[in-house]
Amino acid sequence: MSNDSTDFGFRRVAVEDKVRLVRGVFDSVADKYDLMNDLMSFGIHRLWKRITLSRTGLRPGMRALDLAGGTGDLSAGMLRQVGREGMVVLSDINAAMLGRGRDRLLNDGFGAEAQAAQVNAETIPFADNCFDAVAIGFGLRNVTDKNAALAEMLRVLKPGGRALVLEFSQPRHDLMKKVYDIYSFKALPLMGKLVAGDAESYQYLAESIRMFPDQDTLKGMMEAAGFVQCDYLNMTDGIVALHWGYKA
Amino acid sequence: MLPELAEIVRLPMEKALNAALEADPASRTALHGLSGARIRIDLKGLFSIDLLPQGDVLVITGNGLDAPDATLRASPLGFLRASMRGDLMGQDIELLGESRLTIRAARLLSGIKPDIEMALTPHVGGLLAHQIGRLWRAMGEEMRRFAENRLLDEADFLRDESAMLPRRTELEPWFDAVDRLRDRIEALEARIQRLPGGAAVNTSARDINS
Repeated sequence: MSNDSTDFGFRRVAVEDKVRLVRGVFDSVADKYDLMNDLMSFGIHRLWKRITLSRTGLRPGMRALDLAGGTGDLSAGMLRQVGREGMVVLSDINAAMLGRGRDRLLNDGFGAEAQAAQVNAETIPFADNCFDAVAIGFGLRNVTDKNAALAEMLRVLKPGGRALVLEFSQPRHDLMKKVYDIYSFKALPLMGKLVAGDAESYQYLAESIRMFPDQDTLKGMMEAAGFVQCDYLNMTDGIVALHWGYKA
Repeated sequence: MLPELAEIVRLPMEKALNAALEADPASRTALHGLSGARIRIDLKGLFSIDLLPQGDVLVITGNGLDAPDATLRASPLGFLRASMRGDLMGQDIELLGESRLTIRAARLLSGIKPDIEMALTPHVGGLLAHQIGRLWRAMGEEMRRFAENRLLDEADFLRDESAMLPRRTELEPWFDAVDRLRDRIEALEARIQRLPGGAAVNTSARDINS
């Protein structure tokens, strides 16, 4: 399992198994996903997403792709930015999450400008140069081949288009790291057990965050994928970072 | 400031502005015309925020990655003064960017009267919100008085200190002379009308008068 293995939290699993395991996690948490996000982050995830939305650069009439869009928080914000004449594709590899996201967008009153597609971020089924912005919020760490996903994001972007990667990252200060570790490995699984009846999925969440590349590594990965003018913004002392880069 | 804290500060402002817009159909219509624009409010030396009109709502964000389409720049005091007066197109505010868009943005923002009490009530309770609202209105009145007094002081300086404008005492003899001239012209007009063939001459008298 050495060459064809990948991380699933702290475990090494066969590459072909990771998609199935991640799907299992999200099938399990889909019902309580939004509630758990609010509980786990004390509602701060809404601010992280607002900050992300303020940096999309989207204007009325533009097109955007929300990868691993889940229950559609970023899609809803981007839809308000592009207006009725634009288009946002909400995508997720997990059908259960995508279904909830699509229902939410319909309930929010969006029409034909909101599209939904079941998409694996490593093989995006859209033509080259067709989106003004591509965003992935708390999704990249669940992708098996992150470099392939970044390359695909670049491919579907129009020249000058912007990619945004919102993801958990590494706290900048030792004290915060210690507090965050205790919170992640003790409190999160307990919350998952009590609220969603699933401690394991939230254990995976904590582990997958630790295994995810830190701020500078991810910036380097984006540059290696071909993005230009890459940079990032630390939020909540680096617990979350927003990376961005442009297609030349 | 941490980006999240800045967002927490911006949220009540955004709610207050949108509540005001909801109660004002004319401003809401004007807002539609600005959809997609990035309007920057730059309080020199303090901070700047961007306003993003999106359909019926106005989103307040940080400066983000994009250059603004229009900028309204002023000192914090100048901006407060202009806001209290409800005129963001006055001398206190520097307007930058594409002129038509900038003027439309300034007009729109001048017309919005946020209800501070209503916006704060869910966060701090009605009692405290009412006190803050009273303080806000009192500050507004104080600012209006301050602006009026400053205008008078500046006029005094131009007249008395720098002598760039004439004093009232210097103007009054001139006004009197103008009045006397007007009286004499009217008297002349009356005399001309009494002359035979006055109607023809009357026209030229009126020409002189104008």
